[in-house]
Amino acid sequence: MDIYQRLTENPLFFKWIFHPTEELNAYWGAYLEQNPEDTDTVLEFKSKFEKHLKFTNKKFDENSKKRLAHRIIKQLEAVDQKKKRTLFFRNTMKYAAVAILFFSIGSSLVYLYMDSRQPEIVVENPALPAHAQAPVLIIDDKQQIQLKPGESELDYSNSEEIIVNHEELLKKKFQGETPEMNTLIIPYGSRSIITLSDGSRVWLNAGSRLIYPSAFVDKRREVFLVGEAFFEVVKYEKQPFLVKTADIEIKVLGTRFNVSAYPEDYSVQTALAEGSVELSRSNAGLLDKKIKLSPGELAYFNKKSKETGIYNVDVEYYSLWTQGLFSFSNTDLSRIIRKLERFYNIRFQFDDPLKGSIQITGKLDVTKEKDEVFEYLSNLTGLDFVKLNANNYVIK
Amino acid sequence: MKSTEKEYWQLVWDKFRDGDREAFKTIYSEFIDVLFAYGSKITSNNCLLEDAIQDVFVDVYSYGKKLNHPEYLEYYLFKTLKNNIIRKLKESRRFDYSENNEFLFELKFPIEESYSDEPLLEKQILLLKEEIKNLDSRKRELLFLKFNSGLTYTEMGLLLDLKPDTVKKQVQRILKYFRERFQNKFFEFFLLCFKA
Repeated sequence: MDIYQRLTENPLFFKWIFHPTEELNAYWGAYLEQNPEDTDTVLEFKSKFEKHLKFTNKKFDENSKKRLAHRIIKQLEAVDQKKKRTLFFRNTMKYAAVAILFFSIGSSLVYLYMDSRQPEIVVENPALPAHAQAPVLIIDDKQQIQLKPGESELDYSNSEEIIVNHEELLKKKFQGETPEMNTLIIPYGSRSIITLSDGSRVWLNAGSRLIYPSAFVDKRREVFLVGEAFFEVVKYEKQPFLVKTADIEIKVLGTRFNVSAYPEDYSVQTALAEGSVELSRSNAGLLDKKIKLSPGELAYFNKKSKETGIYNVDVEYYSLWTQGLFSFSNTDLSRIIRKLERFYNIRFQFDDPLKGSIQITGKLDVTKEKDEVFEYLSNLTGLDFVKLNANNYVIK
Repeated sequence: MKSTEKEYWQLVWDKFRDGDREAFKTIYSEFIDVLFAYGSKITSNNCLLEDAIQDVFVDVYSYGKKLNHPEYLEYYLFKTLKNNIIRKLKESRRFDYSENNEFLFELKFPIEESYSDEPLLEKQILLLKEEIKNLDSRKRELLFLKFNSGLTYTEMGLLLDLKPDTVKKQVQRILKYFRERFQNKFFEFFLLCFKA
């Protein structure tokens, strides 16, 4: 083998050219020391190759490299957790089977325990709305205003006052001052309609929180959402409207759309009824792709895999809750139950988790009394909705 | 890559799959540059690429896919990354994807300088670069792998979905073509890179 062949046969040669590292420099330094007769040839070919034929590779900068490594390690740890949990689940299932054979009450306790493991994130963050008893409006972290449970309405379109439920008036700051930040916390069982200072309207669903200024003075109209809301944004191109959530950001020109971003859900869903919106990931890099939605489309962002899918849907279905109607097409009972839990602020348990996978199509009028709604669902599914106490039900 | 080295990586990989985070760091820092360079020639979407790289590690860790011994680690990483990227591109509806699994595998050279000291060589190099640009994307990918990885022709063939025989034939065709056009020690060296 001549020197050229030896070089081409050794992948470390090209690696040295394309991805040089200190180790490679040391390796080739040692090689040249041992083979002084090859030094000229090797260096000449290296430099010629570099000069003429080294194509550029996009560099992955050190920071991004570290960030990605960190992200992967976190994911690996999540997998470890899941593996443990699967093990736990398997064991529980075994015991549950035994329990069903001998003590039927025992098995339901196991499921109760398992169910309580689910919404971990909620427990971790006490500021989340599910814990508030009644709707609260917090102005500038100082003033706390309790709102009546159920439906409430806030109107910021008047330049001097905030109108609460059509009657109560709160003074706004004078123009020219920095507008106050409002945090509206709507617990499960309540809902709210907010008219923002620009006339845009937001329907805030149960178990949600919206942060917004009393007046929009910046280049962009920014609001922050946890939970679900339907937006009807007044068009004003010079001041784009931005809905931020923990995982995605939605840029709006003027339009009507629904965002569902509950911390305990696995996905963030954005359904567009009218106009156009642009989605990007929160903390997105410059190179990240933005996604434009057309009316009738739903963007489904998977929080775990960070992937986005776009589907054609009946958008009406996603905004019916603003009128007190729930509409479902081939939806799992467990998902519907989750919505009802938020809406009425109650808890359901299934005596058999499998029953949660029953598929349901139809509309529910949730402005009616809850027992009436449950009776309707009971007739539809053939399951019994048994009331344990004021806030707890078991589905059998 | 020598077979002892391959065995070494195989061991590190097994340790990684057993939950050893140090093993992960070793593999990551060894291959991340090459994987990123390779992936960025298939997609320019960095975000998608990072996700695809992440999946290479996370998927095998969560589903415990068996890594067969003839498939050595470097080949396995390249193959999985490529599959991940293509799957993700297909999933993102907006990507205008043609049926035949062809994607742009562009090799960009730095901005042309003048090599006035060697006018003949300069002319030949320009011609060669032109030829490389005109190669189909698979051959460009082959070129990239030859220069950036330690894969064997058999592994490259698997990665490109070509039979080893076909790889050999294609390479010989490129080789013959270039040999007829260029006669220079430097190009002989270049051609050796494609020795089947």
